[in-house]
Amino acid sequence: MRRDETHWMATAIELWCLIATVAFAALQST
Amino acid sequence: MPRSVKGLWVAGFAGAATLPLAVALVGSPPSGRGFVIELGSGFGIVALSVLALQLLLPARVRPVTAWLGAEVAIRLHRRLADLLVAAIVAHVALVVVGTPANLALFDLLGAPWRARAAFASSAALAALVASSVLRRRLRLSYARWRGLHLLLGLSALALAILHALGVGRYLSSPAGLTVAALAALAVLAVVQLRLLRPRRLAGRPYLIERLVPERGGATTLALRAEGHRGRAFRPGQFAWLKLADAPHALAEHPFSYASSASRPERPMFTIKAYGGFSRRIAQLAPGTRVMVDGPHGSYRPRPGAERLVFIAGGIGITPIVSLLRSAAEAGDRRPMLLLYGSLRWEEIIFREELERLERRLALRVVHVLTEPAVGWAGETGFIDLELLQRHLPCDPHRADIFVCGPPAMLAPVLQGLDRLGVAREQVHAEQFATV
Repeated sequence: MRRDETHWMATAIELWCLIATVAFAALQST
Repeated sequence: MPRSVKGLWVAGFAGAATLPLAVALVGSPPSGRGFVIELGSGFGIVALSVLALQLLLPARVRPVTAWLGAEVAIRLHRRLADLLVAAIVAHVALVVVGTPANLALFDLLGAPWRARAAFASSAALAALVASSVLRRRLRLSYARWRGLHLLLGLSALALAILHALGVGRYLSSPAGLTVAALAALAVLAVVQLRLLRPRRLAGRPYLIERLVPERGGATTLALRAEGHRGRAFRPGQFAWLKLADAPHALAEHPFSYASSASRPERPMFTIKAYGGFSRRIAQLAPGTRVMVDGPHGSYRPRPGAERLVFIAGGIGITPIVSLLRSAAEAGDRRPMLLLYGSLRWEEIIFREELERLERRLALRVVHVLTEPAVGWAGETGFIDLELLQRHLPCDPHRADIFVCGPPAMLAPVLQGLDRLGVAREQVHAEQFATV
């Protein structure tokens, strides 16, 4: 089944938010 | 809309959602607190920005509707609810795991107001999600649900900001200003959508000139711009219609323009009354004033498409008939094919109009009936892979394909196109759902 195009858009946003948050915590806790 | 534009848009959204994190990083020296608690704070900041952006997404702001398409914006809004809930859950869990003493904040009677604000904000969001998922079961009308949705969303945002101000660690710094700017933009967009735009549109009303009964229980509303020249639209776009005597009411409904784009002062909308607002609007008397909030949507052929294929089901024909009528008026000679699924021969909406368009355009219409009468020699059943293989041009890769219909029709068609190796960029799909 063809996936709704918002699937990749939301996944990209979610991944970016996760990476940015982890990076923030790593830099801020050093 | 090309994928690169959507990619840019995604980058913009993701950037805005995490901008406060970057500003917090620059604005405050490392705290010396542990990784887990900082991760918890980070998720809290992201949740707040996403909450603000979630209010912006469905607010019909031009950069959103023009670059993304209003329908995609709504679907993205639904999907990103997961991100918001996950960020809040992670924030709460990590703040407790990182500093177990924070568990005391769950004792709401003794908790400081910042914790109570957080609890109230989460409760508003939980009610918002529950009312969306259970709307039909709760028998909430679409208009009431929208009012509730907006109220709960705004309350959740205000309470979350209050919570963040109470905590004061990051949001009293420049990062706070970034979040405040996002929240202010979101609130402005809502005020523009719900207060300013209705006032502006009420000053540019349209009169219902005629109501034309169509086959299949549909009705065409022929409108005339009153005291202005109408708003130009592209065929395939849609508008929200609402009654002009209640400009601020939440009862409104999106309908595709069905008329040719060459006469924006006399737009036509063909409506199938499923109930609720669509039934009410289809029963209005000629002379009634309506407001047209549009055009919206990005449903249009790519420049340079060599041939056009249209696949419609039921009332999903409306944007397609607008594309065909506009093409006929523009003298478009490109080869076109329409696969049109209806229940019965008598119920084919625009049947005679499509016959006329076949004569004016290089168009071939293939009707597909799910309940054919005895003796019907044409296509029957649903539009699936086999039917697509029988009728699509040998080289579908040079065509732009427009699909519009209910979800049950869209799924097998899109699946079939995938199997045939048609690139996504060539396919413009629009789902019609009843609300």
